[in-house]
Amino acid sequence: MLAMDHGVVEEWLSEFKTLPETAVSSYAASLKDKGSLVPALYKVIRENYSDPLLLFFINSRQNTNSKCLFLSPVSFLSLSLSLSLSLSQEIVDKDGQSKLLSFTIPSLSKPSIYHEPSSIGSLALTEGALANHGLSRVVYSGPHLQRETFTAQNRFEVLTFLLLCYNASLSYMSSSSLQSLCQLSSRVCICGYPRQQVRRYKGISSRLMVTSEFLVQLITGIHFALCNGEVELGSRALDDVLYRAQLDLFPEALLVGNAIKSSLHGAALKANKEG
Amino acid sequence: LVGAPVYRLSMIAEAYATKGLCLEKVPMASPSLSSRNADRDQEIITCYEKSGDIALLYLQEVEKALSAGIQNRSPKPGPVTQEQELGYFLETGLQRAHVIHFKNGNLTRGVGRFREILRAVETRTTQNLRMTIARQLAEILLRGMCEQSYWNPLEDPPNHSPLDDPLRHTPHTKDYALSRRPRTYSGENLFCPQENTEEALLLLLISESMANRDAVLSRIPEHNNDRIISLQSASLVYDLLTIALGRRGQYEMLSECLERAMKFAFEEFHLWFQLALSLMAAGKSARAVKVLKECMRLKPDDPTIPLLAVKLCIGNLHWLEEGERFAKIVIDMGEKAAEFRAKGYLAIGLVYSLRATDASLRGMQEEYQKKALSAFQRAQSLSPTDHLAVFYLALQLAVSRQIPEALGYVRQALQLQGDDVHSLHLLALLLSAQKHYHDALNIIEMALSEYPENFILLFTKVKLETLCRGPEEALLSCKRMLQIWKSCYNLTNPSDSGRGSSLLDRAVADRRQLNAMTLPDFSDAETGSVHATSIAASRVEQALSEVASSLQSSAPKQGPLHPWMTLAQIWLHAAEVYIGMGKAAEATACTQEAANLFPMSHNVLFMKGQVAELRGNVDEAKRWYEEALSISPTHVKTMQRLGLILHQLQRYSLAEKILRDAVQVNSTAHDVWNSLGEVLQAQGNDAAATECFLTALELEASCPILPFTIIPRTL
Repeated sequence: MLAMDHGVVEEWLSEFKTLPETAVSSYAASLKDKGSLVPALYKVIRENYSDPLLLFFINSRQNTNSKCLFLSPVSFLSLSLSLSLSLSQEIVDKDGQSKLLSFTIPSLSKPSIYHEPSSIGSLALTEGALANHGLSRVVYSGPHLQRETFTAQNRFEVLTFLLLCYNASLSYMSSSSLQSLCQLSSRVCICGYPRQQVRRYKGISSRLMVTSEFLVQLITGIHFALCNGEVELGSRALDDVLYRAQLDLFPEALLVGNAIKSSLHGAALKANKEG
Repeated sequence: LVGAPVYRLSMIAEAYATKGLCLEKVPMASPSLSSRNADRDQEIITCYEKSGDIALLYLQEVEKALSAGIQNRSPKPGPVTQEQELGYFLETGLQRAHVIHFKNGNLTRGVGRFREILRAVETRTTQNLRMTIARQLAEILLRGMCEQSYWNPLEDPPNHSPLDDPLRHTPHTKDYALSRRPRTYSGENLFCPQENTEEALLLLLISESMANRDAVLSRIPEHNNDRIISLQSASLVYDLLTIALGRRGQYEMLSECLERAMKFAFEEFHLWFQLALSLMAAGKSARAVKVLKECMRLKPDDPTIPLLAVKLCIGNLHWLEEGERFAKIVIDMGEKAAEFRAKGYLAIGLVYSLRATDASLRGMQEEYQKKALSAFQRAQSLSPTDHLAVFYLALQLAVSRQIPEALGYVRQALQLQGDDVHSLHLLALLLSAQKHYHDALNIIEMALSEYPENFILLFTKVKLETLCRGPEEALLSCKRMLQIWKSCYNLTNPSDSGRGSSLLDRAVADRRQLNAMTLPDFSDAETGSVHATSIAASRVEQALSEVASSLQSSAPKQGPLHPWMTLAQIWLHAAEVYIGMGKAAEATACTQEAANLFPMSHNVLFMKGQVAELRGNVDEAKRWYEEALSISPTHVKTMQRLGLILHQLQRYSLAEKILRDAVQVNSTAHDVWNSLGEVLQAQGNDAAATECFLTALELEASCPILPFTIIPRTL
């Protein structure tokens, strides 16, 4: 059974490798139409988890309905190829200019469509409040460098960014993609640690290095899965990520993970009371 | 509705709500008539929505009338504005519509309804409702939506959304119009969120301000229930704020928000711990340690908390004594600490290792080194798959110059984690200690192919290249470093002016900052970045340099210091290469570049002294060295050069004093031993001189190209 899936995947990858640069994006967009391929891919990743690197293959975002999926690289070549592909599409806008992502931090001292400052009453008159008065801060990200190669140094920078893109289209992901995300998160976080025995994961048993920011992005995806049908897998994945964040002493991941756990716990309490 | 008296509005609203309730009670038509059912659902929703809109209008009108009344009769004690209560029917009208939308799987309409209610101008009576709805909408935005499926409150919702149940086809727009609608917030420059996290954040900030205002803090037993409810709802808001801000890397702001939560936090572990973590993530280390202490009091069995504290203490705080105490807490937990036990030994090993570097007496140094070694061995035996334990074991052995043993362990570390940058670096340094310079350079180049922007590696590369391939090559490397520096830090990002200011960038930028922080080091090139006195010195330097550079306009402006330190360091390396080539003019120019950045750095002053020596100006060199020592009294290289100059000037006893001090600071500096020998010899003390020469010879045989301690030691 697995051998057959393997065949399907390899065929697809070899087809992919022969593509000219220009056809890659439409090839990626057509992925979701290949009925037998996607499940086969998931299976191969799950059963044959031999490479420590995750490949987050994200296809063209111009087509917002496209599905994203994870796969493990069969070869490093396809990995770097697809990375440069997906990154170049994410970080460059239509005119080929580097994209600058921006995010505005709302401030209560400025009127918004939901409030006016005077009705908030006594905003604490602190030094910080005065310093920020009337400012709505805009933070930017980017422009991101185009990465031609995938090195140990930029690996997590790139993966974190890819996960960020994945997270931006969470609502469009199929449930098998979300399940896959949860399972991969679990594996990445506990391989090589005593908990691997508890979970009885086979395959690689060496520890994978991760970064705190990468875990935060993983947690964001897991949170979505957890609240959208994948309760069991999601909460297990969240536990595993938190376990790893504790062992590696990552404050950021602990912070967000604890908050999610506590907010879900609070909601459960409330539901119990009301129900 | 137009011109209707206020009380009538309330009656109309209640009537619609009642109609909705009645319709819901009518039994469903048989499933075959599903289109009839859909129509009925639609009718119910319309009733509730109309009722809700009119209710909001009514409440606004009441409030307007009341405030007008108060103003008219202000001298007299007018009727006290009693708390308006939302009646059952009005509340149903406001609450029921979105519940039905969500039940029907129509998230788009539900979110739309929430937004309509929130956009209506607040009244006293609707405050509680608004607080709940704001929080619920934020929950939906954070849990059920993503950037791609978001539409902003002023846009029309998308026709097809993945958020909605695909099996039901319900219209996305409402099918009624009222002649009068509740007033909404209006005006120029209203902030309208453009992204789901932005909107969630705005809603949560509003919610937070209300939760904070209505907080029940009283601890008397009668208020216990109220207090717990108020704590729970505030705590939920803060959790959601954490999720939203964490996603965007805004830990600075988050720590400020969580600080406001502290009024609820008496004996509440979760709030304390979250504050501690946010302070840690925001880089406020000293406060984080204090808060972690409180967390430890509340939850004494959790090994993670003291470990986090150690991590902070041996980081840039450099509070080694405190760190030792925290690490001992973990070790004292014994078996209970489970997986964290090994980490505890690792932590205390690092503390001892750093204290050994700090110690100024050789006896102390050796004692701490021994303690560190046995702690690392313990950690390694407890957790044999942890590459960090093996790596630090190797590093410790290397520092005490047991080169072959260290090589064995560093190979083991590399088997566990093949691309760990520090292990590769240590391997290269160990090879250089065995004088296999070419092999060392090969390793460094291999490491650089994986970590092309790692400056510590690059600095080592320059040193090795000077030896293996001559200064020309080394200069080319310096030039490349300048290019890399430019591409790393000169990304013109509009918000790069402060720490933690750019969202996902923190991931990117901070990694680089970390690399830069552990430079071979601006504060003390001889003994590494973590010498206690050099930390003090670098603070002095920073202060002095700020004063000095405020006088000239070319100096760097605001912003994080590390990139500039790196740049200065690159210039100094180039200067050193030029000095090696005997090119005084170029060396001066390079030193000047560094001096423009940090005029009062002892490294710069030391380099100026070297250039002066090269030019033959002994007096000038002596002056520079003395200045450097007045800033950093334990800078071994400066001490050594100054000792030599004093030797030339035949002031032997002073030279001997300085060199003996230098040996105390760093007993493995072979060139200091050598100079000391020369001075003793000149004084006629041949026996002692021989001792010194022998020591120097022995140490030189195991001396790496750069001190092992340039490799950062962190948890």
